[in-house]
Amino acid sequence: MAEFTGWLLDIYEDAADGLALWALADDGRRLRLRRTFAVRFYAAGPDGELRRLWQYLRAQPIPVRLSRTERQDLFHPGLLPVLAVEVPHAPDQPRLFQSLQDEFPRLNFYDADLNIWLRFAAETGAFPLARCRFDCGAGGRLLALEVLDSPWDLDPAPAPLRTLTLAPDCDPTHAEPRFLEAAVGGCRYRLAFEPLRPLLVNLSALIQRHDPDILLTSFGDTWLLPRLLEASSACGVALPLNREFGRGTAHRKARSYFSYGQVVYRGPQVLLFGRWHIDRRNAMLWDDYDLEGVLEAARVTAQPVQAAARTSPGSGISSMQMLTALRGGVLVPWHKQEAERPKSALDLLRYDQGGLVYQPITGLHSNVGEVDFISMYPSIMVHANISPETTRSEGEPSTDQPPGLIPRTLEPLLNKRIALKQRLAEMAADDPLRPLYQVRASAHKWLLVTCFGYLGYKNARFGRIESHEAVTNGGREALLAAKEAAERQGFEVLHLYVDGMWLKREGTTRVSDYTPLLEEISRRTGLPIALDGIFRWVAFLPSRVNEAVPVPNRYFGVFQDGSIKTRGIEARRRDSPPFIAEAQMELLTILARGKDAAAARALIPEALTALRRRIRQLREGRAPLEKLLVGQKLSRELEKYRSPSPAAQAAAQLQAAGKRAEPGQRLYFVYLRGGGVHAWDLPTRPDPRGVDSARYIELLLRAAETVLCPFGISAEAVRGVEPGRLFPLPSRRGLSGGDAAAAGRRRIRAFSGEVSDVMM
Amino acid sequence: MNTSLSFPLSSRLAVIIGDRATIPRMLEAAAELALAGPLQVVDGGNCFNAYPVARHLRRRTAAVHAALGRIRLARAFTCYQMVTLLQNLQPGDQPVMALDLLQTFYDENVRMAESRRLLERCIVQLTRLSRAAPVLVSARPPAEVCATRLPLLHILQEAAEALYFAVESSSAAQPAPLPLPGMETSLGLTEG
Amino acid sequence: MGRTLPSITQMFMEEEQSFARFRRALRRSDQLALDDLFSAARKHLAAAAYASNALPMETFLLAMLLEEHKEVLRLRALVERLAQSGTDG
Repeated sequence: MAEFTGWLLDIYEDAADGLALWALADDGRRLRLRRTFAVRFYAAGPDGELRRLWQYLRAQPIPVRLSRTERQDLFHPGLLPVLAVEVPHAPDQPRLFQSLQDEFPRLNFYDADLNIWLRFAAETGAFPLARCRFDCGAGGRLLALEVLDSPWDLDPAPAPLRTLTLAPDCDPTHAEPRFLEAAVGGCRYRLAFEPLRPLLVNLSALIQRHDPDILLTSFGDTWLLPRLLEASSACGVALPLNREFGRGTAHRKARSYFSYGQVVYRGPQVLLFGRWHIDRRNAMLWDDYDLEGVLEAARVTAQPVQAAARTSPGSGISSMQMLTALRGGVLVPWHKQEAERPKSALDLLRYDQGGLVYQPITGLHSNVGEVDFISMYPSIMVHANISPETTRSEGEPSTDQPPGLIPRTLEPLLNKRIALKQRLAEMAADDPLRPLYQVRASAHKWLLVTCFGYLGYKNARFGRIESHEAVTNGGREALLAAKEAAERQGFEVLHLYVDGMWLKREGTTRVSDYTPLLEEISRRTGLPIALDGIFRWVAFLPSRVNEAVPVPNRYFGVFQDGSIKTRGIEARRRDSPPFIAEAQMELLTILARGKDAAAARALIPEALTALRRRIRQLREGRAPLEKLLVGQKLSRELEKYRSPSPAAQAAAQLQAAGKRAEPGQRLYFVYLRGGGVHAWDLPTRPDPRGVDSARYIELLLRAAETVLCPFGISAEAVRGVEPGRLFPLPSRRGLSGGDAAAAGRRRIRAFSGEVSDVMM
Repeated sequence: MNTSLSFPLSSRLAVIIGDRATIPRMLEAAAELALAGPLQVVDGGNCFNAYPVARHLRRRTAAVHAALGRIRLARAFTCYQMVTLLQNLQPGDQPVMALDLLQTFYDENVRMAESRRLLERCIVQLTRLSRAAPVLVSARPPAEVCATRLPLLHILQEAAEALYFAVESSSAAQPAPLPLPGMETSLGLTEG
Repeated sequence: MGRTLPSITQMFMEEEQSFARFRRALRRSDQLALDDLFSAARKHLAAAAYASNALPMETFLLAMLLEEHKEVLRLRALVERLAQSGTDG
């Protein structure tokens, strides 16, 4: 085998050799390599306990090498005396450490529970899909490995990966699939599920012939792979899902867990060795990520590809931080002990806060610029050197110290994101590489968005509440500095939201008009800032309940290039039925043709015609059922509901049909007449005649009001487009008769008193 | 002075067991103690709401900010952090208040044996601190889902030099006063 | 690690709620005027949060005054304009 170059695909512990590696050579061969791999972990604590640990380790059967040394604990000044335990055969280490946990509760352990990829990446500089030069001896023994590229390269040499796509011909939660659709090497196959034996034989042949690197499935974790493996053992037909011969697949059970204030559902997982299984229905953020995004996330976080496809961005950030620590000789604590340093109750009031969220000036505004800090929180961490070991007290940046662990981890990621964005900005709109860069940028975005929350996560190994608070404090100060700069330059500030500002100034309509402002803000804050665009017109919306109350981050508008931006309205909400979201976007698209607010207003009759057509579609039952699906999250266990929400009703139906519905799972259903719902994942389809069209029409009218009312069209006028209606439904304001006059008065105030260029 | 706040201010370890309604009473007690002098608070339940403390202070003094400044607070989000916090406190003449002490120990991601061991280390620290100044601890029984953690509450009760059970009030409008010193009978919340 | 303190919006609603008995005993028209005052204060929640006053009602009261003063300024300008057009005409 000698020496060759190629890509590193997979590594995992191997009972015989220590470590198994899969390489994709430049000549297309997939090679299994092996090597021994020693891992080290550390213990610190009272001297007597450490001596006892030494004796214990000497006496047990797993061979170890012991030494006393000093290492750096991030949370403590100076070096910490530790006992270093080197386990020459990596697969032994988890078992050994397990036994120590009960035996030595008074010791603190470090680097003790890290996955093998991290350890390997720290030692060799490798990462998933790294270009490497492999030097091999007999029998695939890896003698040396040289990493030839870096995860921060903008254009890594693309690995010629082979993908086998597998999908049942229908959603198995609805009906029993009859065919398995397979695609590989440019060919498509349709294999019948029954009888099972020929299916297995054919599938097995496909896998052997094409030897794919990726099994890209639909429902592979939840249904397809468990089903195929079961059939394989029942029929006695071997199915080489793994590339590693003679090894079983790894299974992880489903679970619901609590994260960042909400219940998250994670489905079951089936993981392979030597190949990657990715279930696109089970992958986190799949819509945003795509396969390229998953690979990019794996590359920059050094997480195994199968993990990167399924874990939260929080685990990705955690992985990156641990890698920085390992490479810098900093200990990774098993349990973080570091606690908050005492602060006064007054400081708590000042620092226990999030970003600044203003109430916008409601109504329709013309020529509004949106200015955003780029990746504000990560930029603050890097710029102000915010890290657990550098934050002395809240909000006090420590620029005189060397860069901390968190800034060191984030800086290359932030730079790569900014470089990618620059490249995207320079690229032609139809450049074939554009989508590739976009999904990569999106993978970075998720990691960067998460890194701030992760700093405050209680179990984060390198988290610290003071650092978390220092970041939000930096954000508030930067936003206020930006506001002051804008006002000094004569802008009116319409809205401020955490890291963004919406501004206007008489006669300011060109991108270049904003340059002096951006420069001043950047100079004053040290943070990157950009003009997201200039809106031809934008409408900031009031609360649904009270027109006098503006709501932050609920708006829609049209940029000068004609693109539409919406936040917080029905079209953006994940629980909106697609029919309603599409109808609202249709109205917006019509209005967006207007070059200014007055021209948009002239298009309102056309929008009303479209609305009328949509209403007729609903009333006549012509809207496809799939477009009427409402998706709501089940917030808690079914038994805990006193009066069941629609999602809980749907969950109860699924449970009665023998299907699972876990907290955190989004359930889809259709509203039925009489107040009921029909869960979409039931085997039966609802009768279209039973659909509650009145309820959908009401949802549609509300969505239309959201878009049309800022143009001065009253809610009554919107509702008036439906001539067939005899009894108007109660207004969305839910006001009784006595409040109507006051509401009218408020509306006038909201639309004329506050706003200087309202189009009334 | 409000009778519901006559806490024992002698140097000993006092434990108050009750439901969530105990927290506002503890916060009032924190305000009273801050009127008199510096106070150290450790918060295991993320429940140190400074606003009611400030409101209570406002009724008693114009120098609200000065009193708030006398309260030193640190929060623990894991039971490991709780141990560290208590270890770091220096014994002195300042009263110590531990709010919702057991909450982080009810975390099911930490094994029961580990939680028990860590709690015992906390109790050593609390006892140490109580030699020099009054130590006031509040704790809630575990929620139904982690009822197996009830022995932790018993361990804490055993360690208490003075033990109080806050009456679970049936009407929210009329919170029951915390029991006066000497009223050390169990109200059936646990069998002790 | 969730936040320890209630958000400024929660505090605002709590303070508004603490006047529920007062509001109930007001005449209907006065109730609506009171609601306007609270709606006015709500527009400055971000500034109130940043102020981080231990007694946030103090800030809310000032925010109500602020909006009232803006209304006075607006009406004064209107009156002056009307008076101007009266003398002009």
